[in-house]
Amino acid sequence: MKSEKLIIEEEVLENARRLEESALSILVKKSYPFVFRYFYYRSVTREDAEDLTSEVFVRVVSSIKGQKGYFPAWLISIARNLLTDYYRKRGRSREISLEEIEEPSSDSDKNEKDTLHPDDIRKMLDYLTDEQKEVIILRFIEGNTNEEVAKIMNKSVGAIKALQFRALSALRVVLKKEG
Amino acid sequence: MSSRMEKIFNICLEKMEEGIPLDKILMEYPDQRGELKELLTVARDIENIPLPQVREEAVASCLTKANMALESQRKLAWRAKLPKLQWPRLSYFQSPAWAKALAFVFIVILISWSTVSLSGDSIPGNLLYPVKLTTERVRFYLTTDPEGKAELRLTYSEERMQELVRYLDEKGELNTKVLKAMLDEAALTVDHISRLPKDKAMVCCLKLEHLCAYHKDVLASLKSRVPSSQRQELDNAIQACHHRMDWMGKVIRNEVPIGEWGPFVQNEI
Repeated sequence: MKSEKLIIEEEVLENARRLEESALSILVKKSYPFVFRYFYYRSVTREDAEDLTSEVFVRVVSSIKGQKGYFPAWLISIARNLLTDYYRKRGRSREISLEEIEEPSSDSDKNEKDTLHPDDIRKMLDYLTDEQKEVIILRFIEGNTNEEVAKIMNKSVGAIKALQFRALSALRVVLKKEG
Repeated sequence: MSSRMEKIFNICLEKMEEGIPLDKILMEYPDQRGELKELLTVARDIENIPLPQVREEAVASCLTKANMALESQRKLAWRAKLPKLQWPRLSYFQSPAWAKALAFVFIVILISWSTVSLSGDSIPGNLLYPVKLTTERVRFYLTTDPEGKAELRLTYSEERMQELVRYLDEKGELNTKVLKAMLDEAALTVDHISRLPKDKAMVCCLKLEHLCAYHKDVLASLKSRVPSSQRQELDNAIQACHHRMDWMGKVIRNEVPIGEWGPFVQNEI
């Protein structure tokens, strides 16, 4: 199920930059799911994802006066910095190579695997690089276009297309091996 | 091969996102059908996964934290608007180091000036008396013309006499060193007078005569307060002042030429 795209009206952003409480409240409520899912799919526990999301909005309030450019890109850059600190403190979760994936022991839960769940995706994303993970989250879970993802990740559209192809190819291999 | 596959995949993905059925898309690429189907299925499956639920409590907690941050942000903005209390910067000095150096020099000058001023009333035995003598010496050596030097000698001689009186008031005895210094300063004046033109020399001689008369009168008034053991020295000094005063009178009346200093060059104490 594709999420609703994060769209913040320019008027709300302008008022938020003037530190108007109502505008900031709208901004937090609208952006919360987008930031939360970003953390959730980046191998962070639900509790930690909620804490990190709160921290993102504390930083948003502190620095929104000087915010310029594409708002989701700015939001993700704050989240990315926090995530780097989070990994540094906790010890980075290991990215697993595709060769390490074990063959399924039986066909018993094959039917259950026919439909993917959020937790399955989280586990599968562990096999991808950070950039590939970000492309999958922003492109397929958040439903952004290649152009929007390119703006958020500060890359060219061509680079985003290449990243998404490599990410999906890797996930295809994971799904095949896990049965 | 991989690059070509990537291009085909991206075209197919765009078509799938436009709503074209998967089978219809795959028919256009029979050679890559298998791989394309798997890739597009993965993409579609990820798009269709149920999203994790966002807890209302978590959003409420986040709003509370954001509001707290907003409050502290407003306080910071309010503080930033307050006028800053700071000393006005001296625009002449671009670097604070210059201002510090200037302040240091100013403090040194202030302390020196205060010390010299305080030493003005000191008498022999006081802590600041050597400062007073040093200041006098410096001032004397900095004066280059003979008239100025003669004036300074007269001033210092009078200063010694006042010290002599104050010393007697405080200690109850005659300070013979100061008495000698007083007479010496007056005697040394004539050295400078000799180098002056006649008209100026006459003015200085007149001043010196007045000073000697003044010394004589003041010393005479001290006679009753001086201990008997020191009276002889005081009498000798009064006598010397008397002789000098008389000699100066003769010089002023042109009875003796300038350059003949008689009692001024004899040590009469």
